[in-house]
Amino acid sequence: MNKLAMQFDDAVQQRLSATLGMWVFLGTELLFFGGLIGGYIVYRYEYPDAFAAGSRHLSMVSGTAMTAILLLSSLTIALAGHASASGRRFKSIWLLAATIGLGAAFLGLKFHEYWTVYHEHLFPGSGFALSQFSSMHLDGRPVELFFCLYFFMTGLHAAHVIIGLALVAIITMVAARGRFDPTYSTPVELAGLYWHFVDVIWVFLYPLLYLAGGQG
Amino acid sequence: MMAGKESSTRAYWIVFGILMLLLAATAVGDRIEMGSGNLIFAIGVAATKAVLIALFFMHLRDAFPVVRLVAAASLLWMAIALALTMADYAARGWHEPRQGWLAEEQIPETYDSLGERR
Repeated sequence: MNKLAMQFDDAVQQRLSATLGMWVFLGTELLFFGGLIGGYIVYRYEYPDAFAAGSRHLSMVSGTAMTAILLLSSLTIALAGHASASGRRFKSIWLLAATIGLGAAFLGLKFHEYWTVYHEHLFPGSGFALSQFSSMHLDGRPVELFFCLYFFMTGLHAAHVIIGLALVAIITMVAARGRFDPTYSTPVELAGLYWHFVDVIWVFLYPLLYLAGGQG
Repeated sequence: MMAGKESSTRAYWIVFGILMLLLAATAVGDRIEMGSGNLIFAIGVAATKAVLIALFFMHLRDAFPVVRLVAAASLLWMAIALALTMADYAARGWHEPRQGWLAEEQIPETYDSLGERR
């Protein structure tokens, strides 16, 4: 099977170029999320009590479950990459399908949480229940800021999960057509890199958003 | 590039087990009162998890040197950007007493008085 593009000397160089390109892209993605994390640090330092109050309104059980689901999906896609690289096509396909299932379960929990937060009147905007936090009207503002950051950070992350799901779905279809073998399975590997990156971001969002409530 | 096939899937399972233990540790650690230690502990565990995922799942452990260089440079670059941002905010004097005409204006000091009322 000749899958070597003409600009490369050999398959190793081609794989290195693809992997390097993916890592450079992930570097820019890191800066993308880094801006939000920087904003979070500034305002948490400024309003520690409000951030703790906001965090206590998020379900730690649901946050922990979402983290566990994403970590498990990282395992399944890593195993899928290994199965694909060692020529076990059927195994790699069902592992990729399991990753899609876990990603969908994560999104299900995430959107259920959005629904809950929305119905507690904690969506930033004119409907935000400031009175829930203090009798002084504007005292709840920094809590609203926490929920702003919550929706932006988890929203950007959820968008990445959706893109990741689409990517893994395409890879699964390509794998089902038998396009990958031990000499060429770079796309499975690269989709895995993206998926792991999204997992790493969540690993940091979990303590920042769900574990900021103190012990109250 | 890759170690023996059997050993590398075993490594995945072991790493996954450690990640789950670390997750349990953060969840339990959150219930224990440690003051500012809680944040340091939670972020420390998250960083450990991220390193494990990057080294084993993302294959940085046995990647080409140039790929590892890009990964390290990305982190360094974000660290520089965050450090300079924080240095800027720290130098704004938001927490210092107001002087001159600012001291005479009616400006709310902070809206974050939830803690004092509790």
